[in-house]
Parts: sequence; structure tokens; C-alpha cells
Amino acid sequence: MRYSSQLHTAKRKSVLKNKKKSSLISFIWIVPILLAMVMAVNFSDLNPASLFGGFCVSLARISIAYIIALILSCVLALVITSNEKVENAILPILDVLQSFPSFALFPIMIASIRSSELIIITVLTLAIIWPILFTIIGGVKNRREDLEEAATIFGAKGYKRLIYFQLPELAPSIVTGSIVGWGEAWEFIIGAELLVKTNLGIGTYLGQLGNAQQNLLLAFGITVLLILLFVINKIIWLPLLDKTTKYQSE
Amino acid sequence: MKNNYLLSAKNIDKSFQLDKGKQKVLDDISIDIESHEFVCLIGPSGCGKSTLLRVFSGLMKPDHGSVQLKKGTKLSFVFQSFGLFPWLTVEQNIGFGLKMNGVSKELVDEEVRKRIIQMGLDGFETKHPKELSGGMKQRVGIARALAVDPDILLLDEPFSALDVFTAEKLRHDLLDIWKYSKLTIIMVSHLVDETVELADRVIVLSSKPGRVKKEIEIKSPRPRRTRSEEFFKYVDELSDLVQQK
Repeated sequence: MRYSSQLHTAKRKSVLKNKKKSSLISFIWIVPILLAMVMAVNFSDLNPASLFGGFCVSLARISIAYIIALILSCVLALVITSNEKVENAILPILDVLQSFPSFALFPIMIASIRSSELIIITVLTLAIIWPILFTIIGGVKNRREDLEEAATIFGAKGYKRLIYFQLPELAPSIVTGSIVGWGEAWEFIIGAELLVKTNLGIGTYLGQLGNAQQNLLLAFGITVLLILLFVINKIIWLPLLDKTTKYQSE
Repeated sequence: MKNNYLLSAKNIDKSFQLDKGKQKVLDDISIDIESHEFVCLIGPSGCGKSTLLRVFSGLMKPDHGSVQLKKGTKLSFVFQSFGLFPWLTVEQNIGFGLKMNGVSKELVDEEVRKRIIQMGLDGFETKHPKELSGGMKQRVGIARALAVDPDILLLDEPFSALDVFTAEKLRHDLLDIWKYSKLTIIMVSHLVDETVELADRVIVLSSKPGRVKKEIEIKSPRPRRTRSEEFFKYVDELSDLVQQK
């Protein structure tokens, strides 16, 4: 069966149109939820500046920690798996290290690091790095031999091999690990912001509500946080997961 | 190295480390390939045909021996399992080798277009491998291999994952490509009929370890009649050789 070029172009346009339609539906669905949430916050006793400002500051902290963890994970995974001896020596050590609770390092960090931002970002990086690192290592171990050979035969070397072959090949693992790491980061940031006592942050604000025993507002604040995380998941992570896994298996 | 040899392999040994110890796969293999030859490697399962092809391509290093190529000879490879990059479209897969070698976008596009038409992939440019049939995937695999303008095309059982009719059609297409170009082809196959239909020379390998058992020249003129007495004579001779311990 052979498609004519015109029919193929028409099909492509139709697929793109459907994709646009589906994104539009998602957008239409998300916007009223966000608007309702903002209005509800405005009519409640929650402080919008502390809640949304705190969320944005926490989001920035997590984003920085995520980028550091992502780069470190990719470099470490590729270096460790490049040599069997190195892999056999380092993997058991990493396995032990990943089970070490990051919060146990807090007293040492508070004593040795002056910047509270640096402490929070370090704790978050340590929380995010493990799922990403181990999922990428898993991805490397499951690589298809024929694709490796094809990349070599067709001259993929150095940075070109990394950009055009290794990273796209590992993209599903990177995104899967990132989703888990990103989720854990939100869990850790609440604790980290409470312990370090920062001026602004979603953990700080929720902690203040808890201390003031405003349990209803605290529950509402947590609900707002969940909605915002759901929206981030819907507009960033799920499309990324879909894009990277869609064509992976033949 | 003689001038007319495009590839000359001398005394190739190759072993693999297995749980039960070292296993020799290739033992003292010497093969010379001339320009514009169509050579098929055949032998029983596990005789090291694919390993030998990988040694020729440089994907594997031999334990002993050497593979010498005439200066400036370019190699390309077609995989049994297609080896297409699933995240790239048909046209991106075909242009991958050129892109990796720093060829300008205009020239890549031009070459990709040419190969798409040559391999009958018109209309499938923006499809991903997942959306193609086995036959179309292998067409992309061959187009990708040809796009880098190789002197030697190495094919590792390229039609074994395809149905009979698709394989038949692709065999004819491959023969046409070879006939109207200066290409030299080295193809691994496990089908005796296929090798007699396509090759100028069939090299039979013995098993465990792989050694060159015999080389047979197929002297029948092309196009070969696959129902002729001569054809069956070659098939019988090769079948006996392959099955002999």
C-alpha cells in the first residue's frame, strides 16, 4: 500500500489539527480550575502573596535542584556504565548512598553551610538525583545493541553521539526518572523549608498555618498546592512522557 | 594488497568469553573481496557469519589477523533487525549518517530525497519506524546505508525478518541497485536459494569454530532462473556443504 504525497500531507495536517484540538481542550479544562482556585483563595483568609509567592519560590528552588540533579545523573550514568569494572565498583556504593536519608545531613549542613538557599537546594538535589540516576542506568542497561551499532557505523561520535543518539535513546528513562524525582522534591521541600526556616516558600507558609492551628486553611492551602502540582504534571510531564515514549518501541 | 581487492581479511580469529569459558567463533579466516563483487556468506547457525561481518565493518576487533580496506573505501551496514532509530522519522533516519559526517543540510535533504524515491518510500518521509511494515523498515535501512554513498555494503540477513513476497521484491531491488552502481556487496544469509539467486561467489563457513569450508562461484548469467536445473545444482551443492559436519 503506498500513500500519495498529497494524501500523506493531508493526513499530517489532520493529525496536527487533532493535536492542536486536544491541547486546546486541555487548556480550556485547566483555565477554569485555576481561575476558580485563585478566586477561592481571594475570598478565603489565605494570604495570596504568601501562598502563590511561596509556591513560586519553592518552584524555583526545585527547578534549580532538578537541573543540577539531571545534569549530574546523565553524566554519572554514562560514565559509570561506560566501563564494566567501574560499574561493578560504583553501583553497590550508590545503592547504599541512595538509602541514606537526606534529612540526616541537616545538622551538618546547617553547621557548615551559611546560606539557607544552598542547604535547601542541596537537600533537594540529593532527593531528586537517585530516581533519575537509577532510571537512566536502567535505560543504559536495556539499550538495543543494533542501535548502538548503527550509531557507530553511521559515524555518531563525541558530542554528536551524545546529542543525536544517547540522549534521545535515553529520553524515556530520563523523563520517567524526572517525574519520580520531581514528585519527591515537593515532599522534601516542605520539610526542608520548615527546618531551615526561610522567609518565603510554600513549606514555610503551610508551616505557619499549622503552627497557628488554622487547620481548615492548612487543608485548603494543601489542596491549592495539589491543584498546582496537577496542572504542572498535566502541561509539562505528561506531554513529555507521551512525546518520548510514543515512538520508542518498534 | 592487490589493487583489485577492495577488502582483504587475513587470518581472522575471534573468541568470546562465555560463562563456561572462552569459545572460539572464528578461526583463521582469510577472504579477499574484489570491487563490484556480490559475495554471500552462508553457514549453519552459530558459525560466526554475523561476527565476521562485524569484524569487516570494524564494529568488532579480531583477536588475531587483520582487515585491510583499499584506501578511501567507505563501508555501510544493513541490519537484520533494521536498527532504525525509533525517535527519528524516515527521512531523518536516512539522513543520519550524512548529518553525523557534517554534510550540509541542503545536501542531506537532496540525498535523502534521492534515496526515498530510489527505495519507493515516497509519502512515508515523516513516518516513524513504528508506523512502518517490516518491508518498509528494511527499505529505510537500505536507503540509510546507501545515503552515505558506500563502496561496500554489508548486509546481515537483511530479508530474514520479512515475509516471502516482501523479501523477494527487496532482493530484486537490491540486485538492481547493485547492477546499476559500482557497489560491492557482502551479504550474510542462511537461505541457500537466496545466495544462489544473488551472489557471484558464495563462501561457506563451517561451525564451531567458523572456518572457510569452501568458496563456490555462481557462474549462471543474470537474471537467474530459480527453476532451472543449473540453479538447483548449485542449491544442492551448497545445501550439502552447509549441512556437512
